Amino acid sequence: MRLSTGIKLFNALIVLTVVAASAVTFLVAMNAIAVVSSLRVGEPSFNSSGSVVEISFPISVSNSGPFDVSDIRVSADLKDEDGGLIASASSQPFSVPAGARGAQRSVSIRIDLSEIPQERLSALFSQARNLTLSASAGAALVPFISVSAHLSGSIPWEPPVKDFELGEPVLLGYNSTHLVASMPVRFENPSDISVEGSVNFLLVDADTGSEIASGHLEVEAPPRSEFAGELQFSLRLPENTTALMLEGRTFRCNATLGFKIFGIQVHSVSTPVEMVWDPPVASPYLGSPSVTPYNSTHSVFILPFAFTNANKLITLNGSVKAGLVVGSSLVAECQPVPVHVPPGSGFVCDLEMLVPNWALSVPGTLVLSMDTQLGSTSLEVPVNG
Amino acid sequence: MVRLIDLDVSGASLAARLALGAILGGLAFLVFYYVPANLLGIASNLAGVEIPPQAAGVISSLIEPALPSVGLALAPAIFLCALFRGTKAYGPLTIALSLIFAAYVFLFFHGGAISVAAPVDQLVGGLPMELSLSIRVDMAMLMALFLVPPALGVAKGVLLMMKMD
Repeated sequence: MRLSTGIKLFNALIVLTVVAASAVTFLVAMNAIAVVSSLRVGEPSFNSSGSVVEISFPISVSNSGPFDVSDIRVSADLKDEDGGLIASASSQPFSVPAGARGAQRSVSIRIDLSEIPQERLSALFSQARNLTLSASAGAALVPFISVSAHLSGSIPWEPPVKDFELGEPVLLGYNSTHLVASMPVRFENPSDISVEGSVNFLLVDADTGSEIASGHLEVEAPPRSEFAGELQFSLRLPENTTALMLEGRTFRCNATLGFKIFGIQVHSVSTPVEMVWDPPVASPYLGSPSVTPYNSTHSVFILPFAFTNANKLITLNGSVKAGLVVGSSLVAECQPVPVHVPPGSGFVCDLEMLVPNWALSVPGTLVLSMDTQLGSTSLEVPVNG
Repeated sequence: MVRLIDLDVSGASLAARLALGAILGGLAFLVFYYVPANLLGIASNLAGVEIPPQAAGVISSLIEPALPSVGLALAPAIFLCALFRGTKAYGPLTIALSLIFAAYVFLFFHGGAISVAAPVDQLVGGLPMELSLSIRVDMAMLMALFLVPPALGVAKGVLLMMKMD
């Protein structure tokens, strides 16, 4: 009799536990589906302080089921090919009690540019590479189920500064101490992040290493765009500008451009720069002088003079004159001839002066003087009677 | 009258036992063997599309290889329990059925924790990256809940054997 009762009791218990297990499974499944479907990720907010950039994603979740959802956690790391940490994301573990509606939490992605070594930052900004993503998430429906997920993979990284080009410098203007020049700057931003910052430019003399120019350019390159800008700078002229009038010169410099984002230099490029200076008085030509009698005491001395303004920037303005020196005395001098020679043009003139006849028969020195905005220069030619 | 081991049953009762055993055994065959053994085909028919090989691999990993075989063993055990109910064999058969069901529950829950690995980049086309996802679902407590009925079944079988003695 007792055994029969026991068997009946076991039958009832079996039915009860089967029903209970099935009910719990159903409730757990419904609870999980309801929580997952209530999950909302809001608009991210950006916050930067110093070298730290923080991107926060607000999360809203409700729990209409009968079980607490606990130990909800999210974490992620983004590393480069060498295993160096670039960005990390995490949330403090939190719980959503049964019946909670619209519980608010946030997951933050934190990037501290100052903690990333310079060469790694520079490589990230200029080289395509693969980054490694490792993300983990977990939650538990207490006490029946806990879920943990791990996502890992390789993400191709497009550099925000690709195919950087520094164009040929162009001289724009000058004064007595400086040349003003500009250089085109161009690069592509094929990435999904925006490049906003500045490019600081430093030009040093390739021979002496001394700073001869500096400049600054604001950069704003939205994702998947091409940036093109002009970098203007002043180049200090050498002490002796007169030499620049007659001699061509190549300014050999090293240009260093540093990209700064959030005040942190993230990438720098160094490249040699050559700026060619063509002389405004190129290929000067002194023709054979001719002498014709003027009166009984003087003759007219005619000296043909020509040159080409090879400079592409400067219109040479000034005057040219000639004089004859015998011993230490100036015995004849012509009237100054105005000079106005646009870039690429030639200049031809005959310098005429009245010379005492006696001075034509003694050794002397013909002095050609030129006064221009770049300075004064003179050329001395011995004359043997 | 027909003698079933130590129990005389009428022809009608035997027919009813056979019919009930066949129905319950058939249902067990369908639920515990056919569905897990043909999960991919059933899912494909329900979804109305061909399941890609990568997703098929993920779905297949949810089913322990031995699960359909154990499910197949449940069908005759249930049939025999229905047939020999009230006989001396019912106790041992109840214990056997409970143990087979316990094994089925254990395999169904993968011992308490299911781990699934999924190549996300192959499952979701067009991703410009290689991503793999691994998910571990710990259901030891739920499995324990489902092991209670077979445990009670074993105890019931012991009581049945004691009663018959």
